[in-house]
Amino acid sequence: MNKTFITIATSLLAAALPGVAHAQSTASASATGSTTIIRPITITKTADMSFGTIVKPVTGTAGVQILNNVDELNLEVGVAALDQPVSRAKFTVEGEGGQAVSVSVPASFTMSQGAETLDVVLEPDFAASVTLSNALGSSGTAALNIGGYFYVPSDTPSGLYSGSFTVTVAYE
Amino acid sequence: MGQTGLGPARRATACRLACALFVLLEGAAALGQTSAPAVTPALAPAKANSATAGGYVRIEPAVGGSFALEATRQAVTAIFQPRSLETITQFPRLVRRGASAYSALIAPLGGQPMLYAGDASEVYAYLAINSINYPQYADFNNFIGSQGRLKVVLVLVNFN
Repeated sequence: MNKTFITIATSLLAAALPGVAHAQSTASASATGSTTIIRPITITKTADMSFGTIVKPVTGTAGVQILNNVDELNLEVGVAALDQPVSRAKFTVEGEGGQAVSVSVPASFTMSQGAETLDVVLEPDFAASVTLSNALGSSGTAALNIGGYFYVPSDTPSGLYSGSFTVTVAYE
Repeated sequence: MGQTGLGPARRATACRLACALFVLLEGAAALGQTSAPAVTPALAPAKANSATAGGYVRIEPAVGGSFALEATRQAVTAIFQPRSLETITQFPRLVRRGASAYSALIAPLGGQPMLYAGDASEVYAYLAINSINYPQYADFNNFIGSQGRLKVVLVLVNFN
């Protein structure tokens, strides 16, 4: 009998407690969910880095440079360039307007012909972070131009040297 | 005989426990699916991207030969003496202005006029090639003098 009484009392108490707890949590708060949707980022190469044809020096070593602000060569004494198109490497970045984009460019790359190599130091015309044109809600772009230079020793074997490098962009 | 299995109450308890465990396991599985979203790889290409550019240069040997100027009262003559017929086939191309050298424009062979452009304030001259026989003569038929005296500065790079 006592057992039964205790059980009933315990059950009543247990039933009452949730009611008390419920009364203490009647206050409420709201949270807001939000997100900003932006379009994917893309990068397209629009021009390769072409130094044209360079006449190597008779003696010594001379530098050949493509400026990063114009498609022209800057030559040190001792080398000459033949009349061929010269171009910086050019890329176009497209994404959400107004967004900051980090740009990763290697410091140099190698142009080679067989075992012979020419190391090209890259000179971008932009900083490590660029901001796309326009504002959020519109498509934005940024033009990336990269010049560079290398040195030609007189004993460089003649021929066509080529290589490649990759530019990576990412939303910050 | 003793009981061979659980009593009804214990069976019910065991069933509840099993159900609870199942729910827990199910919940954990569901949680695992959402906390490690498979969308990450799909987002990566849109967040970052890359492109590759090529770099090219053609290296050629220097043109062999000698270059000289001969001045008279009537004209200044440029004489180019190539070393060989082989070398003469290598030079008929434009040579651009260098960092501190003058530029020279050489038109293709075969009677085409050749322009040697020195410093703009000094002289512009046309060099005419009449044949591939050498020595080649050229007449400077247009120039700008300096203080009444013809001042010709013509520097060709890579001519040895």
